Amino acid sequence: MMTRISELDLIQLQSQLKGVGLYLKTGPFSYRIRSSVPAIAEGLHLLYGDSAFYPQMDFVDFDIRLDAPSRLRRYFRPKLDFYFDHQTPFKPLPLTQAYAFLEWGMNWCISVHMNQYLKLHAAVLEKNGRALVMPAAPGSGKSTLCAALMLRGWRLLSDEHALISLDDNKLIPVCRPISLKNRSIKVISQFDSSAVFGPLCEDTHKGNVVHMKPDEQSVALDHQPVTPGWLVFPKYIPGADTRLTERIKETAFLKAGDQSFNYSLLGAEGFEVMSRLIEACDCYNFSYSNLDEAVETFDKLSETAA
Amino acid sequence: MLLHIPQTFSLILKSYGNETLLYHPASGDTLLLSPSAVPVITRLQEGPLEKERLIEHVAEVLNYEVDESFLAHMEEVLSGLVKRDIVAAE
Repeated sequence: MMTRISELDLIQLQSQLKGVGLYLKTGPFSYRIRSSVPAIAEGLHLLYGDSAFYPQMDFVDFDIRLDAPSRLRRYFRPKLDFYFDHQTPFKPLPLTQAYAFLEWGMNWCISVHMNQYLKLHAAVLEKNGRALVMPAAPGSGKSTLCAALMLRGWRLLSDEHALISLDDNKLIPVCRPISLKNRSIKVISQFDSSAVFGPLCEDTHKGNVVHMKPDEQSVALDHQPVTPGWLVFPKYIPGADTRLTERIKETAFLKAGDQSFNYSLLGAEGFEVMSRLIEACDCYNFSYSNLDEAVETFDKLSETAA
Repeated sequence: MLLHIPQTFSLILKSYGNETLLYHPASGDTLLLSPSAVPVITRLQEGPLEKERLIEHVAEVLNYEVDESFLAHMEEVLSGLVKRDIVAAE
């Protein structure tokens, strides 16, 4: 019988994080996380509560630690370092941004490694057996839309990474919390009061940031790949009408390539995988300002799943 | 002037019915080809051809008349392809 992280009490989790570390599996990746920072323990306990607790793993993909760079930095203008395999790839950040730093670091681990997939900066959700892939630049309203769709019953595969299998072109889930920034935080909390948020990190380089818990079903299905169905480029425009318009596949290809972490690195194989993804998807541009209408539009779109 | 595609790599073309994408293995670039570049590539994939004959071939495929403006346009297309090392000139 699987033990969930939420079944540990917070003191147990803190002790695990301070000691051997918390072993966490999200999609195909495994992390060992160590930290003595209380906000990290609180965030993990709340947001990864439905994930399995592993007392030990024989192998982890990413070994990470977040702690003060020196004893002085624990007390004077406290800051944190992110250690990845004993290296510090980033400058230290204030302790108040601890939880966001963890999530950003976890994203970075996937973004710069793991080239056995074609990786796009995109939200991915599933309904009726087909994946909705939404590549977008920061500030496009991707995560807000992703959160709203998940709260209305779409299965979350990822808010950040579309991982496309090089073998069969399926979307590989890596179900982790959704990152919301600034105004989106209020928008989503008003959109659905059942949304669960982790620690608020204020005044980061992205503004105020919180992470939202993925729903239980999405976490439970985190090992099941999905066939691609729709490739949609979302854009939040204040006051705009809800509009889903078809996009020609050739330019969709190039725009998706722009949002890829490793398209160029994969060379001809990247081109072939992207070609198959585009072939398998109906491609659209989507502009919106009203979340209810946006969800309705995507619900209708999901009915076209073959 | 004889134009050809260098044999050291094979270009990959992809079209979904509207326009054509080209993957250039030597540079790793993906390009959206102009309509008049497509018959240039597909013809040169069959073998080298003199520039004048190639231009006539493109005009025939696209149903254009070979006049001054078409010649100027093709000069631009061909020099763009040569500049990107997609087509070589001897």
